[in-house]
Amino acid sequence: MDQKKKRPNQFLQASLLCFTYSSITYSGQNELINLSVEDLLNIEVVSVAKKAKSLNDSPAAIFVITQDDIKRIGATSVPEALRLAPGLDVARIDSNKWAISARGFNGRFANKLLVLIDGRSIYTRAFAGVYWENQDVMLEDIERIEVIRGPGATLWGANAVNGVINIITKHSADSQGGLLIAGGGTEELGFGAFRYGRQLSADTTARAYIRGFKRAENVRQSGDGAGDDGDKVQGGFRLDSQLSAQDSLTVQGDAYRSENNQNTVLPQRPPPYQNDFNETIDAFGGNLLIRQHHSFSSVSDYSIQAYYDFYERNEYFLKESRHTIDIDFQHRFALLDWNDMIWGAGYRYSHDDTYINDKNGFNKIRSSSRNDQLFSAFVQDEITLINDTLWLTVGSKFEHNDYSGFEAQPTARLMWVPHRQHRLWGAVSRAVRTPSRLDHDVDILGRVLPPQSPGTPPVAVTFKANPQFDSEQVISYELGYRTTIIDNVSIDFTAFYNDYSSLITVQTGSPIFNPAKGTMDLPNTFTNSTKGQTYGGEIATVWQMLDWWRWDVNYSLLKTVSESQNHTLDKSPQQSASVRSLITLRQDFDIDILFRYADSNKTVSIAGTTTVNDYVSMDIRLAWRPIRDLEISLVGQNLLTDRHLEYKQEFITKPTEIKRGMYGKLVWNF
Amino acid sequence: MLTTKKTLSLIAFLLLFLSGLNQAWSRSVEKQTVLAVLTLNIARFTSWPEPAFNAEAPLNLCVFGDNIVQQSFEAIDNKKANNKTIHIINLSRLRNLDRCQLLYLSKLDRSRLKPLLMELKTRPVLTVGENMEFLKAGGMVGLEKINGKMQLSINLHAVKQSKLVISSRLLKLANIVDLPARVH
Repeated sequence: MDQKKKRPNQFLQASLLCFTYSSITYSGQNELINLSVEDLLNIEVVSVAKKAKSLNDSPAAIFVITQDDIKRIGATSVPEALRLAPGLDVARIDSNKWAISARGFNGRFANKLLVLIDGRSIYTRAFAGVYWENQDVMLEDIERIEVIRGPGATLWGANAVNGVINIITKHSADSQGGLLIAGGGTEELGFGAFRYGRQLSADTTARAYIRGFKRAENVRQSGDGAGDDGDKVQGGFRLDSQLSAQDSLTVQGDAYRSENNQNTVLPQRPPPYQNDFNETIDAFGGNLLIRQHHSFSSVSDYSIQAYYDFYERNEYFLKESRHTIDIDFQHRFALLDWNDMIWGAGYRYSHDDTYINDKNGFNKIRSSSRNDQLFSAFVQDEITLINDTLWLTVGSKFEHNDYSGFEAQPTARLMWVPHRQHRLWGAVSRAVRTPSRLDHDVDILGRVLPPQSPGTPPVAVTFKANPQFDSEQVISYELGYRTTIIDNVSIDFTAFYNDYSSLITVQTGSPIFNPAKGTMDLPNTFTNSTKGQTYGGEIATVWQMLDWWRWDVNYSLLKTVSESQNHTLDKSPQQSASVRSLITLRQDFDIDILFRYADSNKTVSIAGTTTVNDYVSMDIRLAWRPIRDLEISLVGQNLLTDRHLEYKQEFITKPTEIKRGMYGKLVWNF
Repeated sequence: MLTTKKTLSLIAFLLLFLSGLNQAWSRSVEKQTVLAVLTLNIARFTSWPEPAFNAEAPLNLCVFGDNIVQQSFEAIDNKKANNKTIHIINLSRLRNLDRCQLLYLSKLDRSRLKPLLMELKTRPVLTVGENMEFLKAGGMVGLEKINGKMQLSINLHAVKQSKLVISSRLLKLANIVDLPARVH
């Protein structure tokens, strides 16, 4: 027994030795320093997927997801890529719907996270949140995704309460030539994309793309199909032109159409008190953005941007179309050699047509169409207190919207670099989540409870709009520390304490008999009467173990304190973690593994509070490049279990478990 | 369930497998490391006009880039270039550039790069960047990876304008371009 046990250990030792030996490459810098320029220009050079902290001088909790990261986790959508960021709760509701939030308060209608694509807000006033299923970009043309946890309202405006996500696409000069993608598998049934970029003149480059996919349905707990399959086609373009030495112009736009199936569950007065049917949600939309940038000098420039965004979404319960026009101006300049000032102003006009299905006699919308205006201005100054060492940033956003009126959202941030390997920052900020159209204008029948005993009427639980509903607020305190003290390791710690007030609360009124419907009505009204606190932190670690082997390890902790009994704030896992290994075995072969853990979490639905169990999942990607411009990859997603539940939607759909999936993908650059 | 023994052999096998496969890596060098050492060599082949800095002062090599770029330059800190000691300054902001004799610019937005290089045009600051785009915007030295090897490009026009002199020994190894910065 003993001997048997020894053998593998010896084997292990031997192979460890072998392994260590082989990792001593001749990249020792001292050796290189003695080489002549001729030699340096003649050695074989490799680029390594090192993780850069490009924004490490920002006094905020920033995490950057690069193009390389997106590629190497085999993401097929933006939400999948967002799973890499610490402090973000990314839960898949079903094949097409997602619940995504930062630092808690998650939900399909998560309303405290602002999301922008190239400066265009995709957060909708309709329900205050993001329709993730309709927001998509050509993933290969993303330059980076900046995920900022904590308030970002001073620069980006209202609703950046717990975070901001900036999706930034490549300059068209960096996406030249052809790109063809094709693939498919078990869950990602089929997908394809084509992009072509070229130089139009000496100063102008452009690209255009089209992309589409079809996804399979997931399953219910019972094992039955969930009927959540769907497909989407999207196309778009971007054009960049250098008008003069100082002026550049960008014009870009996208258009899409998606058809997602859904098994809809709605309450109704007649028995069995709810109605269950399949439908297809048809959505389409588009946008056009134009931005001009002018540089006065390296420390002074302005940009002016205007965009138009349109979407229409049709489902049985809700039909909605929205047109938005937004104009934004920003000016940056240096003052007295120790101030970097940035200020700006913006205007947004939004028009919607909303239809709520009122056949049940309870649902109602106050006005089927509404025009909203938003005026905003901001100023921020970064003051250099000690050169290259200490900076103070102060600023505020001021805005006026038609729902909650005037809002001020200030911040003060300090950045201290005592040593090149240590960076410390702290911040205090205020941000608000402004009311949505839903909060102010829409009455909904939530559920119908069957009669408790024969002869008593069924109880209709309704949710009533409240035009007096005001903004939810936070005062947030943050601390951060980044260090590169250990060779090849970078660690980023953040801690936060968020003090919320005027949080949305459902206030239950007294039951009234409704003779018209023969029900006992239990009205619930949205009010701003809850206070609460969250605190916690995130750790993001990158370990470049070897030139060809990198580890990313993230951990997030979130604690919630609520002062109200009838309102559950902790709708995100208390703890989540991810471990990611990126191996480039040879220049033409990658093995990438991602482990994720999410603690159990609560979901608050119309039917009450339920728990979603904790889960661990694993994704693996293998990629091979037989020739330089061709990559073949095989991706396995959610490999550890047949299926698992990540989130239960609040309303309309039943819990859907996400299935294990595999797909193959071919990428050809030409 | 895997036993400890099985797990160990599995790990051992994996390590052996990996060590066999990654041999290719040991013959090549990581790009960022080469960039820093090449920059040191470029400094050695450059002479600055007299008033650029006094005889005893170190040669300030300013680095603007992310943590990986900055780390790679740590290795050449305090090295000698001719009779000067190299002093690395990691720039957090593009401010007070007068103290730099050499400015290494990693990625910078197009819209900020051009005006910056315009401002440095006639000053004795050797600008080193990572591609042709950098030279077209008015940069002096570009280091680009082409087919697995580093290629050195020098924009003679920009070098001359700033009164710097790059040794002919280095120029011989470089791809010479003579690009006045485009002004429309």
